[in-house]
Amino acid sequence: MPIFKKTQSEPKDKASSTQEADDALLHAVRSILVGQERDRLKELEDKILSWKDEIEASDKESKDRIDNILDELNTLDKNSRENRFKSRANTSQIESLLRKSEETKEGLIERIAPVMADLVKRSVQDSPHEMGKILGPAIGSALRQQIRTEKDDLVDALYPVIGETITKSIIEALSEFTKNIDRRLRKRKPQEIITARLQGVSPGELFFRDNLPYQIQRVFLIHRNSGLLLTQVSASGEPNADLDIISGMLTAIRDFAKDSFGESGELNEIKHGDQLILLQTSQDIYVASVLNGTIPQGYNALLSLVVIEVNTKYEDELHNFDGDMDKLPPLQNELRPLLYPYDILKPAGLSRKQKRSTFIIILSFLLFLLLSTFYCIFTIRLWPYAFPSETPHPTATIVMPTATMTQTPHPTVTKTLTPTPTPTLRPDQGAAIGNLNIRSGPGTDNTVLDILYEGELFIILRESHGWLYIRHEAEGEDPLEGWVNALWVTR
Amino acid sequence: MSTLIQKKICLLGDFSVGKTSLTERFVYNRFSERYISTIGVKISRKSIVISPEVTLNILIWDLAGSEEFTGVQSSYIQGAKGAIFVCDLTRPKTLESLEKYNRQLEDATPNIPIALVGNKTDLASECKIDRYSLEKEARKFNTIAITTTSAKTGRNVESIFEALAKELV
Repeated sequence: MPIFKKTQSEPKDKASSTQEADDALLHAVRSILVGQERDRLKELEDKILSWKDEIEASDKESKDRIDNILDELNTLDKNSRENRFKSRANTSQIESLLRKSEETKEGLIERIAPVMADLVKRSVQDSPHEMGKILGPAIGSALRQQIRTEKDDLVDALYPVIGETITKSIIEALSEFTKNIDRRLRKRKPQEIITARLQGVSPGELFFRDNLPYQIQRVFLIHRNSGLLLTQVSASGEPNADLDIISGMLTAIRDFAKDSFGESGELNEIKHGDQLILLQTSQDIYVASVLNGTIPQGYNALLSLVVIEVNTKYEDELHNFDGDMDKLPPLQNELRPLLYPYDILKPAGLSRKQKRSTFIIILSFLLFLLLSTFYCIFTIRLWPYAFPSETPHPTATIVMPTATMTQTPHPTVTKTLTPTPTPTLRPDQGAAIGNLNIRSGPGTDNTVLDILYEGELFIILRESHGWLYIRHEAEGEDPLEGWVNALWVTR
Repeated sequence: MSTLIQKKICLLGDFSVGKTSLTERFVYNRFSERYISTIGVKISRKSIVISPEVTLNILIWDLAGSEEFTGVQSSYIQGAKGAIFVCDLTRPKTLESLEKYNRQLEDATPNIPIALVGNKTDLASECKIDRYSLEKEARKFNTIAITTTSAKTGRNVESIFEALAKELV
């Protein structure tokens, strides 16, 4: 930088040389005045320049980095915008879907329906038990609803599946039932069939009437007023600690029914599953009979009869019963007929009409027999007088068996009917009643060893199926053992 | 051989005073916080050896109570030889109702011994009936014993049943 300014203008050459001289002078002055500082300045200037270069280099690097960051920011901004745009698009789509679903259920159904079946299918495949638990009640409910509303449709739909099975089962059961009945009917005794015919019913009907299954399990006798158990009998004999509570509850049920439905009636029957409780009341007591199966004919009447009889018989004791069990009469035996009514309730005897018919039949038969006998006697007695010249044929027929008897070595039936007297025998002895073969074995196929003559004695060693193994000892002969037919032996 | 005597007794009182709980405590020595309203009647049995010669079989008819007095079925009371009147110590109204039950009992089976019970002593802070009120009410009936009980803790339950039982023999 110039320290001094030019003060005047001269011709160019001169001026230029002067200028140069000035410069040199100036330079010299400068060197004298600020030589050292100039160097230092120079150094400083160099340093500054170096720093400037560094700064510039640093600036450039920073700028590059900033540019990169800016680029990244721009990219991010761009992405963000794109996302925002997509998000908006999605939101609007969801809103549109929601609007659509709210507007119409059908819209939602349309969208879900295509995947619903797959969804259920997959769930069932993945966890069948869980799905069963979830769907079970719903299916039950749906079925009930369907039965209520579309019963016929459901029946039509199910019939092909279960109808055939049911039909088959019923046919099989009926067939088995028929066979059983038939088998049992065949085993019936002739007198039962005659009884049935006399009663005017078929044997089958009588069979059913007699054999419809029932079993009296227990009979309670209960104090009517207090509901206290007086006594009880049971078929099994098993003790039951709660019988008095049962008696109380039965009484409460009876009372409840009476209070609810009127004093005029009585509760006579309580049904629980296969069990039936029959009740019959008298003045101070009532009887409750627990039975399985069908009520036997006449059983209710028997209950009524027994309860009235017992009440009448022990009227004072039952009427004044105050809970002291020792003061009660022995009532258990009175209930036995109700526990085992099988003999009492056998089919009733013949009706008056049936008895009359039977009497007429028997009388007619006897009359016929009497007339026949009279006719026979009359004919036989009058025959010789009516036809005196003819040979009496009956004599010839009587003689014939005698001839047969003498021709065979074996005794005939006629002889067994009139055995000849034999001496007194020991327990192991026997005597032949007629000429008798001794055989090698028990049976007529076996060889004849010898003959025993009528009245001959022998020792019986053993017996088998109508044949006797004997030992015969005759004087002067060896003892002989063999088999004889027991029919021709007297002991 | 011991003589067996059977007697029917009734528990009477308003809805939720603790009749069934008292019976459960006496018969089975148990208590449940769960309340199950009795429908109609519940019958239980307990044998008490009164002496070596006498055993008493008590048939306890626990009759359903009602919120407002509507009475019980007279037929359920018939044949009873004793009764336990139960009130809830936290509800004075349940004590007042007992007079109506007594009238019904007198109609069906007069002059039987009665035990008066104020139940729920375990709810001491809520009790609104004092001993004096109980005794005053008891004078109106053929009362043979008065007590306060707790079916929950079992306090005095057995003793009141036994007091009545001895009266029946």
